[in-house]
Amino acid sequence: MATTSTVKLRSGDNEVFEVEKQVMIQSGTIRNMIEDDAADGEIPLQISSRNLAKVVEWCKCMQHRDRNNNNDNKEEEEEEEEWEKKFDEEVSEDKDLHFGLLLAANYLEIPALLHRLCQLAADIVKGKTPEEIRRTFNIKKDFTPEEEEAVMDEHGWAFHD
Amino acid sequence: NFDTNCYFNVLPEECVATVFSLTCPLDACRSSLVSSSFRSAMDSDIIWDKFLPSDWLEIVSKSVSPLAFSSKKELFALLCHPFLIDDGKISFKLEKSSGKNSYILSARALSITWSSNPIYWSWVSMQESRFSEVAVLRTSNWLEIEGKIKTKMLSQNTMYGAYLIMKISDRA
Repeated sequence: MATTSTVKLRSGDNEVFEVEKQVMIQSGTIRNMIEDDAADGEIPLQISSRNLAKVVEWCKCMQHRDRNNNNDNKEEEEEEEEWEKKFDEEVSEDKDLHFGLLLAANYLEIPALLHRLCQLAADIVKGKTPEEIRRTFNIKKDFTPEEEEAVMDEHGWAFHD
Repeated sequence: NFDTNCYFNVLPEECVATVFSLTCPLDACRSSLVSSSFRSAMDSDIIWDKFLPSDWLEIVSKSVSPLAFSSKKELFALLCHPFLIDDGKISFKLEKSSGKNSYILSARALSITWSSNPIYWSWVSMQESRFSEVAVLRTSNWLEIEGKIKTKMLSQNTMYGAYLIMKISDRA
């Protein structure tokens, strides 16, 4: 068994985060490493320090919330809700952060965070036309007119009555 | 840091599919037109599994003529066109923008007072009807039509409306 109660995560830009194992086991990837006793040294991650800091912050908040789930502390509950609201706003307004975190949550296998981030992305694309989505996310339209027509035909059932 | 060109491109296709599984069928379909990578992401079963009614297997098995499909997306598109189930007594279709179940009960699936008495009602086939038989009122002093549907056949969290579809004939 591992002897320490913390785990060290090294970001892609070489910043080291020391976090309680209890917090980081929300990540399937890191939980596996801990269980395999492969987490005693530093764990190198291809995640920027900015994004990694956010992931750690999120995990801490969630663990704190789960631990206090049975407490009826209204004040703390409100604080957590406030934090989550801020998190949602910050992520929705910053695409580098949003997509960096999506990749990180996917790699680290943190289902709850991944779902939250996917939901936020879904809220952004909902009701948008293809052109609006392209503009929002800087996506290049790579269809030839013929291909575009083929896609239109294929999805005719969705566009016409 | 991201190349400004590739926010969605850096994500695994599965991730993109998960995002769109949290929108609605119309959003997912429309987004096929964004780019070729979106188009292939929108084919994912992850998305259409979410939009299909939970009882799709039962509905498909009740279809009068067999439904052939090779993906969940194809199945969804199929279900958006009305088809007959329950020995042709009920017509089913998915409401395509929301993915909600909708049904039309044929006259045979309704309970119509005295409908088996040819003095009052006759059963005929009409070309414009989706069903093989319709009930034609001859004369009656008692008009009572009752339709029942099990709530488990309906989509959850949905406001439904009930309508009576009828035609007033030339001789009426």
